[in-house]
Amino acid sequence: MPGELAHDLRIPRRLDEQARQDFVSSLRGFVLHDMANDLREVYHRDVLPEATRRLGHEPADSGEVHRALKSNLTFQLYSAMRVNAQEMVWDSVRAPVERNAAWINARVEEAARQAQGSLTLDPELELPRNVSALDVHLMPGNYDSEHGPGDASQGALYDNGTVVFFMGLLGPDQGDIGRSIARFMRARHPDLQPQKMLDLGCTLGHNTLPWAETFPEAEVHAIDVSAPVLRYAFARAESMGRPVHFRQMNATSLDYEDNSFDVVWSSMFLHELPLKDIRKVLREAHRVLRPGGLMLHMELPPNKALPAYDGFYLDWDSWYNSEPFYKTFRDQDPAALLAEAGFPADGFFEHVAPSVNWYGEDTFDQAVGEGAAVGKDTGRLAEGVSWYFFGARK
Amino acid sequence: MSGEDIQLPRQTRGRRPQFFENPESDVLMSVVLAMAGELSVLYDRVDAMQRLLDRQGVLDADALEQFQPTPEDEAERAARRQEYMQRLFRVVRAEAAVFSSKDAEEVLESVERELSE
Repeated sequence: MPGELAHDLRIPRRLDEQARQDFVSSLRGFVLHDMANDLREVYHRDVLPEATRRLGHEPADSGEVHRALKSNLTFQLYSAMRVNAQEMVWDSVRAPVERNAAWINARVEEAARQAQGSLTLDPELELPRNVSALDVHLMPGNYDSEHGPGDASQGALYDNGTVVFFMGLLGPDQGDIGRSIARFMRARHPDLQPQKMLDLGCTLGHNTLPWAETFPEAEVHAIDVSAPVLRYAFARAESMGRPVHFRQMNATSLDYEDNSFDVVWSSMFLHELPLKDIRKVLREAHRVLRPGGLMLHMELPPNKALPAYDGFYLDWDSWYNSEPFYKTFRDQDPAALLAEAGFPADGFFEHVAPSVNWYGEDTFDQAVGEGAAVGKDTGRLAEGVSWYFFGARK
Repeated sequence: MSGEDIQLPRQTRGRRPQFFENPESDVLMSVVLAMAGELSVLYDRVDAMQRLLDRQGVLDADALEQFQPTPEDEAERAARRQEYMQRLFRVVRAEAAVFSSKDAEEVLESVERELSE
């Protein structure tokens, strides 16, 4: 069950609201475990032989698997229930967020008066259309809607909703992705002692703070294009005693000096961008990194690493979760993208980090020593959670 | 800012996917799932109440059967049922939402045209 957030912007939930959220998490668990297993079974047992006869070959990529499944009832039921569960995620947290919006916004103002970090907004920033014209993840209002001056409530909606979405798998501070990867890198690279780090597309800062926690000597900067999530992220970080410098900025055009960061990273960010913006982001990351600096991106694994069916399974979000650029990104070769952006080809790396929250500290430490490969469960919420990431040294 | 009267949007921008042959099946699936959710919420509430009453030794089964709401009780219960209707039939109202599905589809297509290479 989702459980409660462990920071000071946590809002009280009424009995029925908690039950509603618990139900949606349970529904997602049913869809993503039981129904997903049924879908895999039905595909290989019934759909694959028929599609192979029709095509003259086995469905070779994600798109061909998708077309073969569209008229299948199990696919239709799985997909319809998954879309509904997604909509119900946001529906289940809307009422408590609305009721507490004034309180949350007051906390943002309060944080600004006694901050250790900082919040710098840019009202002139032109929002990219992939943010301003879409409701990514089917979240009504997306990251950027402001329901009044200084409003942070879309940030609260996203924070409370993602707890329900991830069924609590990211831990009470939702930092599991950042924590697992930062600790993985620290364990593998004892020489890594960053002084200055930058998180791109940080939204709530939930994956920013674990990096600050893992490398406490470093000065931490984090950017996003949307003001409501940045306000929320700032107040949230201050409430947890983690000073971070948040700025409203587009990662395609960074307002930072050349050679100024030791680490630049992102978490679940690139796949929301059109390919031409991904290329710009990687070039900008290269520019602001000092020579020898480290760039890495936590992402869904690329389609080339997966069998056609598993690629289809992850691409589902591109078709049905209002993430139109997700599949285009997953069709790329990360190594080629980094080479185009100017990173030396021999510096490319990709890893699968086990989830600290899922496995616990001891098993995590042991697993980091052994390494792991991309499998059918990498990046999806199933038995045994792990996170894929790739990157390079400048 | 005050934020006292903040109302977050109810409907998602973008075309709602249709998976079944008939669109009414997709709508009915949504209503059934919302209904299942509310039933689960109700069960949790009753369960919480029974456990609390049991722990405190105060559950009088007859009193429960003979419960008569006061006018104030009834007003609260009616308001709750109204909220329940809104939640249960949210999707039935999607067509009439401010941002119509047709507009959303045009925006999505224009974004894809502009941004994809």
